[in-house]
Amino acid sequence: MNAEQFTQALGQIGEGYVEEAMVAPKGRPLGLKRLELAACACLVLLLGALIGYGLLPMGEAPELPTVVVMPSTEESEEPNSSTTETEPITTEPITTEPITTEPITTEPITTESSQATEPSSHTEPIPSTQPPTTTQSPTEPSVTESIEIPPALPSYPPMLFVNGMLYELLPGEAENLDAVEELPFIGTVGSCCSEEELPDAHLEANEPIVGAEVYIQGERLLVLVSGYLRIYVRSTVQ
Amino acid sequence: MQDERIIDLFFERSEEAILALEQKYGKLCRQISANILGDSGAVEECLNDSWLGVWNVIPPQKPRHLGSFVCRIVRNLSLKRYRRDSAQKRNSQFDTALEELQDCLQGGFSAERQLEQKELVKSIEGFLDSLSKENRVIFLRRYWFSDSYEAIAKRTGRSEKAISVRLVRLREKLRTYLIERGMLE
Repeated sequence: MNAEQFTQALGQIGEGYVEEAMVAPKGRPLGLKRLELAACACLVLLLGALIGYGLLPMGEAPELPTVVVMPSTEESEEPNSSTTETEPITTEPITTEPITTEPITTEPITTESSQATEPSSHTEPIPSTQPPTTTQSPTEPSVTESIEIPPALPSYPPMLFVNGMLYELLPGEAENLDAVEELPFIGTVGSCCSEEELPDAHLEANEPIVGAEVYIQGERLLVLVSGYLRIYVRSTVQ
Repeated sequence: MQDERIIDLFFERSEEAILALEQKYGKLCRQISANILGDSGAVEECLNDSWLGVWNVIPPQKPRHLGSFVCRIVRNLSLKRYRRDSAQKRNSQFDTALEELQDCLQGGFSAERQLEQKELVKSIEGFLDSLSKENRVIFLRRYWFSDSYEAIAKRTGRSEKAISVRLVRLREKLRTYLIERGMLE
């Protein structure tokens, strides 16, 4: 009877409550919600895969196999390919170049943009990673053939010379842009050398990031490159 | 047809008013009555009684919300019929909802307080005001309209399980609310 008494009293509540329950908009069908969730999950996975494989710029490239252009005698797309077996040429920033789906170790990676002016070649992973350099011009040669590089160290990782000290890019690390607001500003990168060289002038980098803003944060540097904040730490390379 | 126009027809004592009322609110009222009585024959009788009831009270009354006004009449008449047919086997949505409330209101109303209906209504309105709009709608769809979980789930775009869990919490909240106000022991 208690429940009935309650039900009877419930029947006498204000008309506004009943009206609200009558006209409350119907929710979307559950199936549609699930479909939307599934679509979102697919999108996230797709974006994750694209970022993971370096096809989208996302701060520093994670520890992925860095593409090293190796000499190739087959499937050269460019007739003026001049690489040889003894010339490990350069590293290519993965994030800036579309890559074909051929296996990296056996097939050459073909590109549409930057390799338009570069010889095609075989690739092979090396321990170091290469950050995205979206400011690099496709026509700007990143190869300095005149410099002999030891085979064990084909090129240096991205480095920056500031106040007499050499800093090295911390791979896979990125900071929030807000982090620089309170940090001392050192200056902008004024010059660059090739990646086979070590920068040795103040605010010089071994990659084309001229104009990038450099901030100091304790023992490390934060460098704003193309909207992303890179972290550089003291390098052990001398 | 707009509610105002239907009310005008009642005031004009036009039989078209009943037709318009049935056309606009017949389906909803039939659903409310069926949720309580579960028997189509009784539902139709109840609806006819309801239309007659509306005809008798408008005029002089002029409801602000014709829909809820009519639904209330249908609900009250259905409940009346439900009690009259109490000997019959029950398996309607209303029975299930009533059992849920019975569990929630276990302990009965405080013996020290002879609750007046008005006071209880006020408390229920206070409880409803403390809920979010969605919870309020879910609660009323279940215990005022006696909708099934499936119907509420469809209406709110949630799963039946989610509605079930939500209602359990709402009943717990109701119980706490009534205990705090000394209405339940």
